[in-house]
Amino acid sequence: MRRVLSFIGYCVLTFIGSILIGSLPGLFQSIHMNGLSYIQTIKMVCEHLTHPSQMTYSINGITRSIYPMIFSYWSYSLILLFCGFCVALVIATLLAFGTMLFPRPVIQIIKAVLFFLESIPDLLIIISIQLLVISIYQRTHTKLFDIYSFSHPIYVLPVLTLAILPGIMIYRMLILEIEEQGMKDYVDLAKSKGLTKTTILFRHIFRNTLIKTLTHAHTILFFMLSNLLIVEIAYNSQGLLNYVYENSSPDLLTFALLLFLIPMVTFLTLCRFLIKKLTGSIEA
Amino acid sequence: MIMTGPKIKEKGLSLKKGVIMQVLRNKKMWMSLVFIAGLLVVSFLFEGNSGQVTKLIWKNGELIGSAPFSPAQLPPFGTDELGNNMLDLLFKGAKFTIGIAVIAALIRLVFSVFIGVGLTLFPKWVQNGITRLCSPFYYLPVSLLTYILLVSVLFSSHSLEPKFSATISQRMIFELLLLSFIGVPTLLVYFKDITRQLLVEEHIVGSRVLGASPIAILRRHIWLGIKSRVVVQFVEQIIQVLILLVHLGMFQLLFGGTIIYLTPFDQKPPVYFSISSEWSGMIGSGYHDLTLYPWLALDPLIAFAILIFAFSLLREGLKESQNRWSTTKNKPQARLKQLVRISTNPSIPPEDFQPTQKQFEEVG
Repeated sequence: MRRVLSFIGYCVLTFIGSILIGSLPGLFQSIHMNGLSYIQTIKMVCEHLTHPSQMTYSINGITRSIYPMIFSYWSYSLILLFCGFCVALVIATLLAFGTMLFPRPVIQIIKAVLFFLESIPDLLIIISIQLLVISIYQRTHTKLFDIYSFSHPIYVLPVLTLAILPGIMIYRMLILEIEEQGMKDYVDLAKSKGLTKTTILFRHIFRNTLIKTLTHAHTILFFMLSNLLIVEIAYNSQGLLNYVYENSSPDLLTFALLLFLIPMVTFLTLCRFLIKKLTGSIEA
Repeated sequence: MIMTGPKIKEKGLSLKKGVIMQVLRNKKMWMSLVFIAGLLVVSFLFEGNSGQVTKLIWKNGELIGSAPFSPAQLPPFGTDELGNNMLDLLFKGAKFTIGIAVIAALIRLVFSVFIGVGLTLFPKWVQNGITRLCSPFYYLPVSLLTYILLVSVLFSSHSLEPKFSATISQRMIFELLLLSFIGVPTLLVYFKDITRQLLVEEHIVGSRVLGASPIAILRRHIWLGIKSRVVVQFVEQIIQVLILLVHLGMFQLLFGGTIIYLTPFDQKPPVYFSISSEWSGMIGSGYHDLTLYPWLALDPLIAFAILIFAFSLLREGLKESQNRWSTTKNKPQARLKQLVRISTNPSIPPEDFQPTQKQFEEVG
């Protein structure tokens, strides 16, 4: 009972926090802080959240309700986010375990290169990919992917672009984690039993490492969300973040924040539940 | 007759060991510091001198090109539309970019450390409540929120005469404060969590049992515990602000204000101009003709990548040197293994706690 109550309390507080953050644009009028207009904005946001049909946006002077378009934007953003996450996870896992088969000096070089790649801003990667696709098209007249969406949504290239930086992050994280696991006692035991290096790596270290990566799922997702904004704007996608970027009103901001918060919290809670089931304890 | 155990070494950067020695010992640290310092020095030397301007290139009495020149025509970085060498512009803007990042990171840290650590004095439900109120900040890209808050202040109205709602110094201070405070809520929760982990450690519990007041504990023990993390977080926050600046540059929100020139007669897209010569401004003004002159946006982006790399090298170096001093000269993992083995085998006391001859004499 106590746990249920505290859970409800947490949900309510998170909800209030979202409204307070979403209404922040009302706090500043030009560069001056205005408490009164902040309270008015909060009131307006609450009213619009309870009567969703009042939320509107306007393009070229025509005011429309945000329904039902917002849900197609929302699903597009979520598809990009979770596909990107899965692609990054799968490719990084394959690469990391492939890397571990190389000799130690090679691994050190790969680690150094990954460290450098991690500090490249996401915008640079997106621009380079767009320019690359354009120049391939100019040279060979084959269009690999659509790089800009006008009417229909594009998926392949945004997902790939979105997956690059988190992929590098997971890749490096995995290599460090595999090295740390390699020092543990169960590996010593397995070695003393005469198991080969590949068996230990793929059967025993693999499972433990994947669980460890899932404990970092929240860091990776928050990082991806920031990338998603840049990807959506750069590809002119029909995504929710791009939509909020173009029509920035407090009620829309709050609504979008809640729309992102709910599935992500659910996903992260599932991850934690899974980890608890598998390991019997919550780490990190 | 007081038993004096071996003095516990301070964690992190201790002045006794000599900060300079620590920096010199770590290759990553001094290399990145030399790079950043060198960039700053060159940047300040470039103040009055904007470099040479190349508007047209002549060859054998024939005109072969006009600005902007690509990096191939005028190495290493090409020129902008006015013929200024991009390398000069990058050097000129470096001090602003680094300055903004350092100041914003400093403000972020000061506030979040004070509030985060101070929060642990309050009852647990207050702490949890504030954590929950701050948690939605994670689910919204920081750059989007910053954009929405800044857009009314930094964009000039669409007219031939640029009009802003505030003066330039007001705009700059407002943007700097916003860049700082937008990062405080998440950082505050981080420091609060660390402090709470430290508060249950044995030496702090012991000191509380002996009657130390909460404030004294925060001042004496907690500060020692979090000092090294504050230094690492400082560098980390500089990187975060730099990334935020890249994003704002893409949104055409240039530091100090964006002047939008709408060309009313033909159907050209608006032209954006930066007021300061700072790097994210260069991205913003180069972003709109990316396919025509890609180097205009790519040059500052590459510069950002190198600067961020230098700072992350510094962060890694700091972490390494702290591990070195806080444990022993052995590798941390090997050391941990050794300790675990000792503690699971009660017949062997850990070597650190073997009393020396002197202590035996003191005990008498």
